[in-house]
Amino acid sequence: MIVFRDHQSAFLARLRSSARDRVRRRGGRLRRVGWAQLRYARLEGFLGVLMMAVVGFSVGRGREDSLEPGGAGAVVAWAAMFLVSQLERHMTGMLQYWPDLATCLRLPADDAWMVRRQWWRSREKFPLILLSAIALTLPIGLLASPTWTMAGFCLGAALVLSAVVLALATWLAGTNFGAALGTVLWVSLAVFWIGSRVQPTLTAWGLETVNAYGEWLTLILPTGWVVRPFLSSLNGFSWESWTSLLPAAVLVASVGVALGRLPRILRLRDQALLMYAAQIPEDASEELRRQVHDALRQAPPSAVGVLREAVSSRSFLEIPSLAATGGWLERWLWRCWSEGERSLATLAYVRLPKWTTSLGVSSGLVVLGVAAAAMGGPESPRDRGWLIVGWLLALIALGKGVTPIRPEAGRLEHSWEVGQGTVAAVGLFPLGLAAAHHWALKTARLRLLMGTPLALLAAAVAGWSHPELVTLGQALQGMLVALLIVAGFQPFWLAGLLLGPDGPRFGGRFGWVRHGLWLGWGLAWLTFSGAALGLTFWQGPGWGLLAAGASVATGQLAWRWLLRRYRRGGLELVRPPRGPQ
Amino acid sequence: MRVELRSVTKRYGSTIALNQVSLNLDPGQIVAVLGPNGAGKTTLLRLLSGVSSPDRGELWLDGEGFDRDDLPTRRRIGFLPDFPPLFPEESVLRNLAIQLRLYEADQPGVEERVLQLLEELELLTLAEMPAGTLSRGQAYKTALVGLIAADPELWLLDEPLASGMDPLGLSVLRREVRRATALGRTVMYTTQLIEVAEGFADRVLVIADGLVRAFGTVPELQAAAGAPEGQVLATLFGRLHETRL
Repeated sequence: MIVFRDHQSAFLARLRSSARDRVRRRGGRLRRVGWAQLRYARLEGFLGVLMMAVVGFSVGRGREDSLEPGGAGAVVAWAAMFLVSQLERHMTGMLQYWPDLATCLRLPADDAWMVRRQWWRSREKFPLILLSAIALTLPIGLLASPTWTMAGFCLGAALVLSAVVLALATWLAGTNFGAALGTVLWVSLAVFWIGSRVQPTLTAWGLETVNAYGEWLTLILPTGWVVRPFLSSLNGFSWESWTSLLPAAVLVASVGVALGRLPRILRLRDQALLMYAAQIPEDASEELRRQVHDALRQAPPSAVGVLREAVSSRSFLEIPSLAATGGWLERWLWRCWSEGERSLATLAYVRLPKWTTSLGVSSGLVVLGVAAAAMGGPESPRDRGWLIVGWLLALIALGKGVTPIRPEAGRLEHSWEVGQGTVAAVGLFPLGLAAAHHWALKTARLRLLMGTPLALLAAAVAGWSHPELVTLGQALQGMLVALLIVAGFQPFWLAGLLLGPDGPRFGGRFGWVRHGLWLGWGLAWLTFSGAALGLTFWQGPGWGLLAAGASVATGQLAWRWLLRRYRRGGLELVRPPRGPQ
Repeated sequence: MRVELRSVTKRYGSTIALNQVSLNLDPGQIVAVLGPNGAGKTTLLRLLSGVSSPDRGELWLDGEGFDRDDLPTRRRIGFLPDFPPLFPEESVLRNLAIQLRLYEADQPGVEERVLQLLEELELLTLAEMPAGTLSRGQAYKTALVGLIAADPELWLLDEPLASGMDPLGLSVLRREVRRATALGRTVMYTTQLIEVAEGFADRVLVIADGLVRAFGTVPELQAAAGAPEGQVLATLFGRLHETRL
């Protein structure tokens, strides 16, 4: 009789084989998080086919009049990048959220095998990608020459294009570049569409620009490496354009390398930890918890001796400086915080948000936008196009990096299901509402302060470059009005975050009166802010500044009023459970 | 910590959770709050911890009005709800470090206490696990280690005996509660188990329908109820049910 021991390779091989058999028999349905993320994947795929068909017909018709060969190539290559983004998201979802992850972690299945298997499962999306590629190439080819040979050529081109899309998506899966690609593509599309509705000359500018720089774009975008020879072949064979298929072939051949680096990027075990930690409901059975726990314990734990040392040496109490891994803005904020505020920061953040990066990206966008706007002018449609694109870029940048849109309170917003209700962190931990609010407000304002020069720079260039529209002083004052309105809103916003998901909840017999008063404060802020904007546009920013100042004062007064209610016990921190009682 | 409630009333909509409750708790006592479901036990702990606020009446701690935004006061109170608040993505050790820092209890010597408790409660091997992957009992034990190490002056424990802790955890809890009260801490816990309240409390607060029905030591309650020894609380409970019926 053969006795298998856990260190024997035969035992491990048998166990691995058994694990593979088991997971092979199971379906590929995604877990809840993945399902939520990818439930519209098929619909998205069909919309992709439709979108590519529209682009294909437009380019096929446009080649005859408005689009030059370079411009047509750029448009097709750009459209094909949507397919890359679509497949990349699907692949990432499949790789990160799948039902057998815990099983595979518990059993000796190695990460590379798991990644390959799940990557292969994402092939279900491939037919739609191929169909989209056909919908893109076929109209262009058939509008140029409606023959069976051309149809076959278009199908071949679509197949090669799909292979490039697959390879590129594999390289991008699970990386920040993959996420960024989707954002850039959709934001640019939305901006262009909205811009062209507001200012029709933007379409003309877009055509001129794409015709002028399209050749370069087809060289830069990997999808362009296939599109170039495809489009040039419609006008006759040219060796020069077919050479760009070489890098495309290298890209397709490198899929194995891309797959090899996926386990390292995805960090499956970390993903599993977060996935399960986030998914285990409060009322989960002990059995479920034990299963998850057992699965995750396969990750090598530190030896007991090491843990004992971590406690007895007090190293577990040391709060790592969150700024150590951050940029200069994070380090500066860390220095600005007091000791107590640093404690709050370490409670609020696992790691600090990437404020420096955010500000850097925003600054870059503002500079680009300002440069683009400075190139333009109201003289010609092309100049006006630059102006609009520039200012749209600057606005997006300011929205992203300067205004404190993202929650400054971090995990201080967290609330827990406790007994028969939900309680915010300020209720369960010895955290002062005033202290937490003060810290979050200070952080938000320091960031606002850092972003103010950026906003003023954008306004100054606007005033300087287009005096026919606005004077320098007016532009600066207008920007100050906008910043003051944002600053005035912060107390309302942070109070809502710190006191639970639905904002302040007033207790006592006359709680509804206090609630009405709180709404009154909010209405007052809204009125002053609206007045500030209206006055800035119609009466000049001088009056707007006054109204914006009043909105800041309203925010401050409302906060002080709320804090007094809190101290006197007029605010309820327990929220009753949702749903039928 | 001396705790005083003066005519405290708390409503949830039309339901009166606590009605004109007045109490005086002396330091160094274990107080068991006993009552049926919906009696107002948890509401009482929430009021004392600052999570909830009374609609009427006043709370006094050591002779001073309770300001729930006063950090030094908040640090003197430790509240352990039935589902302990832990950050699920943080490890057991990190959760403890956060708790100790918030209570400003990370002074030298606390590490020995933490290590001893982690070993006793069999949590040391789980110390690097994310708290979200712990079972309910383990999570409660983790929060309990934090509370014991932080050592606040007022301990408020909501249903600790129904927290999913194993007998080992319960025995450590009992020992530490005794130790804490010997040092002058006040411990208040809620329970629905008559025998627990009878055997593990200096004073028992019997509460039902938001009203204090009885408060005193077991012998005092025995004298008042005229019930045979060992059946005092059962008799009181029985009367409550008769009243309700």
